[in-house]
Amino acid sequence: MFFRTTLLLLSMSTAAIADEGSAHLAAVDKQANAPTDTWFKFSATTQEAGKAPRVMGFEVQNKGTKRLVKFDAPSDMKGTRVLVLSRQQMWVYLPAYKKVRRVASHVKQQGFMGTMYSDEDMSTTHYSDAYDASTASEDEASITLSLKPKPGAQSGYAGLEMVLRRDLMLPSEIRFFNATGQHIKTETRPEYDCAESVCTPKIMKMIDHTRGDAFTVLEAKERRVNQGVSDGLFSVRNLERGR
Amino acid sequence: MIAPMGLLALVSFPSASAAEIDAAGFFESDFRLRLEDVPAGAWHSPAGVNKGFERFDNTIGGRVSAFSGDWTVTVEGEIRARAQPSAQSLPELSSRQGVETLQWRLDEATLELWDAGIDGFDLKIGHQVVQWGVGDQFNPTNTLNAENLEDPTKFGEQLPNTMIRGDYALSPMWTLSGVFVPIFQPAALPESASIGMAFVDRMPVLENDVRRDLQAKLQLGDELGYPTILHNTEVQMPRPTLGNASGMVRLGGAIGMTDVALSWYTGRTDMPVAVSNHTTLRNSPTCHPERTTDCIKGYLLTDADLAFPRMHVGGLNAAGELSALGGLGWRVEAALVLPQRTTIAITNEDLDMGGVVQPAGELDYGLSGERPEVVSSQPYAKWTVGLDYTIGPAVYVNAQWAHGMADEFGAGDFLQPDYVTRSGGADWEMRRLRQGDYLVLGADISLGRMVLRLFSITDLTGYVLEERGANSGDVSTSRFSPFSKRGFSGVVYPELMFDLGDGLDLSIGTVQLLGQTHTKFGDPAAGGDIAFTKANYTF
Repeated sequence: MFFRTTLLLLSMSTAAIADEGSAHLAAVDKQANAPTDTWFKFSATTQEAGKAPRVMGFEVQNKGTKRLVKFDAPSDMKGTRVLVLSRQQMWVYLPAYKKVRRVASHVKQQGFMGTMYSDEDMSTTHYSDAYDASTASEDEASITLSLKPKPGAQSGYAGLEMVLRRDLMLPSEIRFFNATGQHIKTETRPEYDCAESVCTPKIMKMIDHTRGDAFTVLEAKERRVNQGVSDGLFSVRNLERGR
Repeated sequence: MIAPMGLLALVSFPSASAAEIDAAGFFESDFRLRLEDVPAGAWHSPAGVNKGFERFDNTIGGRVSAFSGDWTVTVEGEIRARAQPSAQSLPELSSRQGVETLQWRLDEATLELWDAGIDGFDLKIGHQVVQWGVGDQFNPTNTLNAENLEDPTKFGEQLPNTMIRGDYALSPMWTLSGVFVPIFQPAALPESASIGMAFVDRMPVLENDVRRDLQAKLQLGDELGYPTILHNTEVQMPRPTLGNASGMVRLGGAIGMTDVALSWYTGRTDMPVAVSNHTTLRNSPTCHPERTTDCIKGYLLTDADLAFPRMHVGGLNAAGELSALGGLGWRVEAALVLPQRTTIAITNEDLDMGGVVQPAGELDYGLSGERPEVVSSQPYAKWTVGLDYTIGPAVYVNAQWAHGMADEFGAGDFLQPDYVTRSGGADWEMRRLRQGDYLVLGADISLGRMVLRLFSITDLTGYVLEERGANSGDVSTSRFSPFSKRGFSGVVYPELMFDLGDGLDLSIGTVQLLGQTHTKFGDPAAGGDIAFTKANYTF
């Protein structure tokens, strides 16, 4: 009887933690996607051991799960554009070939345009759609969530640890793990821009521990929110014309 | 018609000074060596090329776009300096153009109007390339622009042409497009294509009896001391009339996780087909400079007219991924081609070859008054089926089965066999299915700041030797598999690319063409093996 009660309490407690974690993750998604739409001008600097830094410039227009990325630097990538409609729907326009091509998910674990961010990292806008969350730990300033891929969800990661800032309910750090439990990547978001009651990351840094801690720093140089962009902007037709 | 429309549109909008300007440019230096001699033609009419410098081109180019709220104007072009002077005479040496060879190319000059009159309707007018088709470089449904086969290292590139393109967004995912091409444009062939003129035994005639009779006549001329050479070719360009315009409609979008498009093209093939052949005799006794007993009395000179038959092409494109196989990417591009039946007229002047006389007139084909076909009206299919996959962070692999290449026109494949003659004699012909099958394998291997690109094409078609009995006329056939010495043909194209940063790339590579001279890639007209280095700076 004692054991049954203990087990019952334990399972209730675990369920409560999971429910709490899911609620926290839902709150993150809500906060991260609070604006109707956002636009950023990013500078991305990638540094690998023994190599000169590689600097890219691009603009990102976001709305819900949709994202349109346009590169303007370096010169050999200028004109390259990427459309993301969901985690499974991604297209790239290659100016050298004047052609739009669907991106299959096998490439999504490769670095997004040579950065330490994978295509999957770039296309994930709602973590709750892909991951179940439970609360791993919490203190006065932060909450750490443990994320596992939902059954049937396609993910290149076996698990994530997401450290949330309590004041913003937005991530300050995300740790990525592979199927063997190895900690393979870490993303930090040390600074948020909270103008107009909307908080967005000012700086993001992704470190790939499997590549000698090579990293990419994304710095938001400019941002606009709630411009009222239409859904029609996020179309393959628009990707091709690059408007 | 187009220019006034473009001017009207320009004056109707704010001046370009109010527009946002976007510009990019490049410099490319391209140095190539031909690694071995490419012999072709007989001693009295050599047509091959020697090893040595194949090209040393230096090119600057750029693209400028002016964007405004509802329109974009784009101009893209390049100037190429070729190391080889074009001067062929003393007066031409007095002209700088004859000594310094400069080529201008306009890759795009377009006006785009967004939401032109109707919300969701876009119009793009001008000199442009419309790139459709999910296949990599092998795009049988992408027939709007002519092939640019001038440079084998840029296989799959297409020539811009003047077009009017309209796109109407039915929904965010589905677009109905139409393209009108007023003026026909033929494919640009490689410089080495003229070597193919040496192979007069590649008879295009479909009717076996007629073709074999022509092979026998060719051989007889040789034996009588009058070899046949292709003297002149004239291209019959379609006149610029509405009836000769071409166009395509296309409906493209996605069903679930699969991109789908259906298209219909009506126009012409961009590859020339022989439609007439006229032979004259020139007495010109000549002996081999070293083998003095090896002499000819003269030539049978053939003048050929080339035309571009009409065709309709129904197209299906689909691309997606197989989740069960780790997101393996797949794509299918299939075309059903309905070609115009095309015949050839074979005529000659009086041919008196030392008493053996062929009177002037048109050949009696023995076809009840009909001329022989060079293209039948039989519909046929072309397709590309491709898979691609990424292995780890550094290796990308791509495999395609291409059924029919851009230069293959007319029915004849493993589904409905019909053959094209690759070489022949009085009583034999080496032949091959008209539409070949090719295994295309590619891989990009990232090596830090270097990328090793491996590309290969293997001809899987095989060859057939048809031999006729001297008296019975019975035909026996011997088949050569694609992996036999006489049936093998392929391309190996490795390239090592260095990213030196700040927009500067260097590459070094080679294109190796494998196979005997009757094969697809061993053909001397393909230009032989080359090695190249390229430097490219973008800004």
